[in-house]
Amino acid sequence: MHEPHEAMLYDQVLLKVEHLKRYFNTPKGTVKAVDDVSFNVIKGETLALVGESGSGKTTTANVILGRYTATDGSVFYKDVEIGSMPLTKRPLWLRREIQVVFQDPATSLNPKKTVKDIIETAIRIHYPKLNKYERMERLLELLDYIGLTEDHLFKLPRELGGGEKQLVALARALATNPTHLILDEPTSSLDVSAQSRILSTLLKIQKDRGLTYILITHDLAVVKNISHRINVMYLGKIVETAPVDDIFGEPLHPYTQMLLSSIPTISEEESKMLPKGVESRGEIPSAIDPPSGCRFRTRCPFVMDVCSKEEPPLKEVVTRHFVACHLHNKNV
Amino acid sequence: MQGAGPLLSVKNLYVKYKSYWYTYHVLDDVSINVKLGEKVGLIGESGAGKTTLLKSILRVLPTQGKITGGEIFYKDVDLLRCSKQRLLEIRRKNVGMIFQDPLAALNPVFTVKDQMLEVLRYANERADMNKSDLINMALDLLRDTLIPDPERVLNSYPFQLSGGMRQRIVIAMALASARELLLADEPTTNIDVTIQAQILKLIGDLVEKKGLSMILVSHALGLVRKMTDRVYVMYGGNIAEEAPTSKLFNEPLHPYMQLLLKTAPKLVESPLTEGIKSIPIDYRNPPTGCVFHPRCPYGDQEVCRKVKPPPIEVEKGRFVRCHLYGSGS
Amino acid sequence: MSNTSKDLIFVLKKEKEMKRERLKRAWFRFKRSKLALTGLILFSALLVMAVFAESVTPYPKHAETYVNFKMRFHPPDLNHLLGTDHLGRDILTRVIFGFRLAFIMIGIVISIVLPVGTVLGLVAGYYKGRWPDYAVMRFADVFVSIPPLILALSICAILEPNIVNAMIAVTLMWWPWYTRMVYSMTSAIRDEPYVWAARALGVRDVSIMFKEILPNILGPVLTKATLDAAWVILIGSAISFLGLGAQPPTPDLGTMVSEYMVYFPRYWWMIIGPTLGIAVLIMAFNLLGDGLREVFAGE
Repeated sequence: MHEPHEAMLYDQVLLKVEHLKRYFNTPKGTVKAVDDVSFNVIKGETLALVGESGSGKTTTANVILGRYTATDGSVFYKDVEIGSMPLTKRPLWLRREIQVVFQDPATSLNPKKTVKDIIETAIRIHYPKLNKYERMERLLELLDYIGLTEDHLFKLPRELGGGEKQLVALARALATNPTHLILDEPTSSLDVSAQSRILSTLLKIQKDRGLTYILITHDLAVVKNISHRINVMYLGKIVETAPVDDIFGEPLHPYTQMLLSSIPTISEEESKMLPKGVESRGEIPSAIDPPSGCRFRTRCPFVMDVCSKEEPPLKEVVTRHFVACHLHNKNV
Repeated sequence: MQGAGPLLSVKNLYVKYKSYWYTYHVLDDVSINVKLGEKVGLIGESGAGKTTLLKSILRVLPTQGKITGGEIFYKDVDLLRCSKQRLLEIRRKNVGMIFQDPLAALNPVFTVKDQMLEVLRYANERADMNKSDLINMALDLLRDTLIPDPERVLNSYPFQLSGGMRQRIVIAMALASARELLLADEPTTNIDVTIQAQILKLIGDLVEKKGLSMILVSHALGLVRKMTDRVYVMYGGNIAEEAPTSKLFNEPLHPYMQLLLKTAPKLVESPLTEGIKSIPIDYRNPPTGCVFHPRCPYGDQEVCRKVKPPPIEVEKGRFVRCHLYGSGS
Repeated sequence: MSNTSKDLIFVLKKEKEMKRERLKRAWFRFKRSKLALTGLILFSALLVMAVFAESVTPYPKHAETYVNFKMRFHPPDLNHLLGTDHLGRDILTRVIFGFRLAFIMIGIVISIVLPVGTVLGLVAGYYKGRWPDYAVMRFADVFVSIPPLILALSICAILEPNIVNAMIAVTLMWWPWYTRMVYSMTSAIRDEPYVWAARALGVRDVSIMFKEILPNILGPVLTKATLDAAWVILIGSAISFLGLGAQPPTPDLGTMVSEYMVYFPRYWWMIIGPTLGIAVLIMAFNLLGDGLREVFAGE
């Protein structure tokens, strides 16, 4: 884990998700994409949502962003309930404060607009009083801060490399001066050599401006490098929540162990860190008809009788380390 | 295996793409060889020429792509000069390929059976087999790829199956024609780590069991490290470095590989670096001398700008194209 | 401060340069296709002839009411390249004036259909699944469900048969096709991440439609408009041919075909002029459209 910076205060909750549910009706049945999820995001931290596709991490983030509204439960941002507020109904200040960086910069930047137009739009909307020159000045400042130059200004997205495109997307999000950034797989479509540039830029921004990040990813190496806390999700539920070092040092939930043991490593040193013995098997079942009791039991190597009968509650096992598993659900 | 010549050898290959105005020098003096039973990795970022190399080997380059020099031998068959029939035969019976986007490699309007039988029919033409033999073969292949309930899967349409399942089917189909060599082009991009681990293990086991050779193309370092014996690092249409996998990852020689390993986000404690200076290569007009010199931390010497480094054998089986190791210049 | 603003002015100047550079490249792509270039040359030539019809035609007075029985049914020769008609008028002159009429018709129809169809399609596609979608698209369906020619003919039959009403008819039957095309493209693009990013920024819906989505669909729409221009000519000619459009002596190509057909095959050259004119016009637009498609696809 990288150092918690000064702006981060553990008692200052910026975003509170309470019993969030999001269901989708399909011809085959109701997909319970997110099913009763609660967590807090602390001001200034990076909270990672980790899990396979179909785990509900993206849906959760989309509710926070306002792409979907909650089926049930609530999301509070600074005491304002935003879970039932679609994006288009949100006031401008809220849109300014919660910004997003999408996975694939190739599709998140308008292919017909130049870098200048893309970023300028953001400035114009949130700072309408600036004139053309002031806007431009601000834009150049921002570009410089993020590590791009004037040469990039009038390029179209397709004329930029993958990493540069993602930096432009980041600059657009920063142009509004947000407090909260949702990072939806920010590096997964980039080359290795571009990934670290994005990550170090993200760290720099957080350090300078005290931003709060929600990071959605399936790349655990990325999580390890820039986040403070991790929520591991499986089939619409949170199965484990802990500070980053605890997850990597002592993963408690078998699913977390499976995720970790699946990472292809690039050195002996790394391989030694990972848990052994929980080999990946099976696939995530359909969220229309999830398994009874513990949802992970169909793939769990330690499955017991109780697992199919009772749903394990999310319990604090060690300080700030919560896990939902019958293995750790001993009544003290 | 010892004493046998390489199964596949590519020597000094040059490939150019021609558009209306420009010529793109995509592959520039590329040599690789694959021995029988060997697992070889190709590392490089997108646009390094990895896929072009695979396509050249199968001779399936798009029409604007031209092989302008070098040779490709599959055993003793000259793939650049052999008859079309011979080429087809090699594609059908000896070499199989897993494509970059395996989900798009299945046709949604045909059942798995239709698609597998077509491949099998070509792979076994003149072997005098009837349909039920072929179906049995297909079932065997599906069992090999650890697909539960192969009879049901065989009669399904691709959209009725999960992503991981389709992936396995694509592998099964590649295996149908890969009797000797399997080409895997980014077989697990955009797939969850857990499924990726399963698929990789499966490919590894099958290659081992059937004694196949494999070329694994990927930009994911960890994946190549796990799966291969020997690695070629590609950069800008060149082979920058060639080394046994463990040696490469423990002690990379080429500055590009060193940087790549240094910048990759890691699990162990290590500071994030600014990354490699991002200067995409203009293939119309590639850098003179060493292609990597504009991005290289040691690239400001005159020799780097002027002279293209030859492959230098640092120790047995380890080649690097870098002036840092050259005595000749 | 003055120094930085100087820099800024310099930067803004560079923007113009870059835009010019892009246009240049688009022109290169267009030029690459010999056929497209032919289309453009043909199109420009026809347009110039149409605009300056009074000066380029040998007998500008022959365009409308003019009778010279001495010269009637005169076969093609050097004075009358396409011959003369039953009233002794020079057919070439009349065909060139016919081009003018065709261009006016295309211009008016496209300049109504294109913006109206596009805007309606944008709105309906952007609000897919809500009332603007249903209102616009069902209304469009009504027009689409009637065969276009029959619709146009009935409109002309109800109204007075003249060229203005022919244009109204063509316009009415044409807009739903643009609306449908724009609708389907918009409803696909509105869920693209960059549109979501714009929403997250607080860009208003109208701005999203016109500044984010429209530039991405303009290419195909303009291409279709160019290719469709040929159809407008055909349908317009068909209406006139059936006597429900422009009336003689208006030099409309379709009207001329119907007028002169009576004298076929004895005075065969009469029909050659207007039909050839229609064909050349259609070809020019088609080739031009192909070229545009090339330009937009090349991006």
